[in-house]
Amino acid sequence: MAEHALPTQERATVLRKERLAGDHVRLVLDAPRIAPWTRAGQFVHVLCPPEARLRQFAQAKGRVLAPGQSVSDSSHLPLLRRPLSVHRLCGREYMQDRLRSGPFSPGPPGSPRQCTGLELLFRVVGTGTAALAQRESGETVDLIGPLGNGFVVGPNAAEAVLVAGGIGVAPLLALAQELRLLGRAVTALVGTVAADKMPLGVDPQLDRSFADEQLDFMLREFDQIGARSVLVGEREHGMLVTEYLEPYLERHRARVEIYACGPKAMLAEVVRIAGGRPCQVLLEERMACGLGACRGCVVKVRVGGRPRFRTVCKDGPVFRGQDILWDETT
Amino acid sequence: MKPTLAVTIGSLQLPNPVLLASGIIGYGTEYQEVAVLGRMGALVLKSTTLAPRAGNEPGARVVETPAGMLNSIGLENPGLEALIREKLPQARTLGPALIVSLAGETEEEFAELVRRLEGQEGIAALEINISCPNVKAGGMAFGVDPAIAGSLVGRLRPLTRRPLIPKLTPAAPDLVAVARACQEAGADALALINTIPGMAIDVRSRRPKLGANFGGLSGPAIKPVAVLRTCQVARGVQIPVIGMGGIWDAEDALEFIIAGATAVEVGTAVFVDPHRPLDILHGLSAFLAEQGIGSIRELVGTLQLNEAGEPCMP
Repeated sequence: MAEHALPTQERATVLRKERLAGDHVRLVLDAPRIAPWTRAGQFVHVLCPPEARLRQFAQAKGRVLAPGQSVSDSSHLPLLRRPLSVHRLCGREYMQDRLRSGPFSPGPPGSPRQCTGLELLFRVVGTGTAALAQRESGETVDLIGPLGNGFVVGPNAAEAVLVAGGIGVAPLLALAQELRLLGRAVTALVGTVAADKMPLGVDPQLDRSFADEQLDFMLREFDQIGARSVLVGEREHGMLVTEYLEPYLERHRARVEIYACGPKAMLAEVVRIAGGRPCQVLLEERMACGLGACRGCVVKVRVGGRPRFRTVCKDGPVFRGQDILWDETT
Repeated sequence: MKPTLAVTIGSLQLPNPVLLASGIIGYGTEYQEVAVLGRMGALVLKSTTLAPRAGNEPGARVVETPAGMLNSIGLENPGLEALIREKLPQARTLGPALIVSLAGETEEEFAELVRRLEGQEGIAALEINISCPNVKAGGMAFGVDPAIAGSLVGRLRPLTRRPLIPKLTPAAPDLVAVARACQEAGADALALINTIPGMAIDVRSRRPKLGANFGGLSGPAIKPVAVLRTCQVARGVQIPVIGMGGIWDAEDALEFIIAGATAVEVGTAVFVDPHRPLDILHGLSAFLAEQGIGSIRELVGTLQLNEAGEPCMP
């Protein structure tokens, strides 16, 4: 990998916080050292306790916090960083009209993008995400990133079908951006337990010619960048996104590439439905280091026909779906 | 005059007493982009076994707990050949002295590891891991019994002139006896504590949160346990002690040093903030300057127990 794409630690500034449906929070961060090198599917390792608390603790211990240096407070709650996929990149190359029209040359692989901001989208589920959700505009968040191997995308003719389950939609928006930069046709099939739990903008009024046959809802963030989207609500439509995917692929005989993120059971089903079609999946796992050192986040994958453990943080989080030995990890 | 942080552990001369613990930075290179490794007193590499080990099955291998974490990696490592061929040459470029950590299931495996490393350059000392809670054979079984621990160290002693540093477990019923047995068998120093066996349960599924059911607890939560153990062992032996367990900042490191540790190791804190070790180094210098102490060595074991209290020995 190119030298400049190596992970760095950066104290990013919160530009905006949005509280969204279903206990979701979106943080828009100014991260000029990390964002230009970040690609869809990569993640940042986030120190969750609020900075104000950290500063108080450092000062109480008689020390001054140097730039780039962080401390945790004496309660050490929550202790470990949280890995969060990059949800969306912001900057000149990611302006909506450019992405909508595409293709726009994103430059050679490994080169920096004209982009200084990145967004994180997460659901408040525990101490880490609860602490992170307390951040306000102007406060900072300590990040290590970009980490892991993102999605492998290239300029080809195949339609990209993105399949998301729940919060798995977060990194797929960044992927849609990346694909639109390359001028690729993108369809996002997004599963949710109920439309009112969906953090993205659900809009039944969007251009119906864009929507697929029997489903009504579309997602504004995908529409803004010229990507088709279909929201599959378990409550509204009585089906899972994978139950929509299978007939969808049968109807659309054209060449497709599948990219998926969501619960492991959903991903296993997506891979089964994908059959021999190209299928990349983004896995989530609890992590300590995030750098491939501690070996805490392994999954079992087929390497050269044999089962091997691979780290989600360093070898992934994106894997070829067909390589994953699901029975061992679900 | 600038205070000195240099310490001596057996024949090992280190520029400062802040080491990185085994199992944290892998073989070093994994962390070189985000941590300042070159300034460390020494790096303890991930425990290596004779043959490659895949480690425990997937399912959670790490779980956060209050002020700490449980891990059950199961000594995943690429084995001795990969250490010699690939990992050591890379780690040598990082700068600090390297302490190679060895794990075996039998005395003979440990002996084979020591013998096969004899021809290799750039190894400052050998850590003998007799305290891993996450393997079925070997590991902690060596570290809970003084006779077994002493026998192992006695077997390894004639095989090398390198410093031998057994790493001890707080799960030993009589840790000081294990420490003394290691000393009598020829150990040059002792490292402690390894993680404390622990469990966390998901109340909804009524299953352990770790895939392996239980694992080793580390992080700030274990620091008071580690400080007491360091104090007890340091008072029970004449060889140097390397103290660790939940060290976050310089003040924590000083607790271990005052309790009797000649050097300390930082572990879990590095996961949270890769700058912790460097911050500890700066903090130690600042403390010595503030206190008008010329050398960190003057602080080792200077703990004054309260007269009215207990003698602290088990």
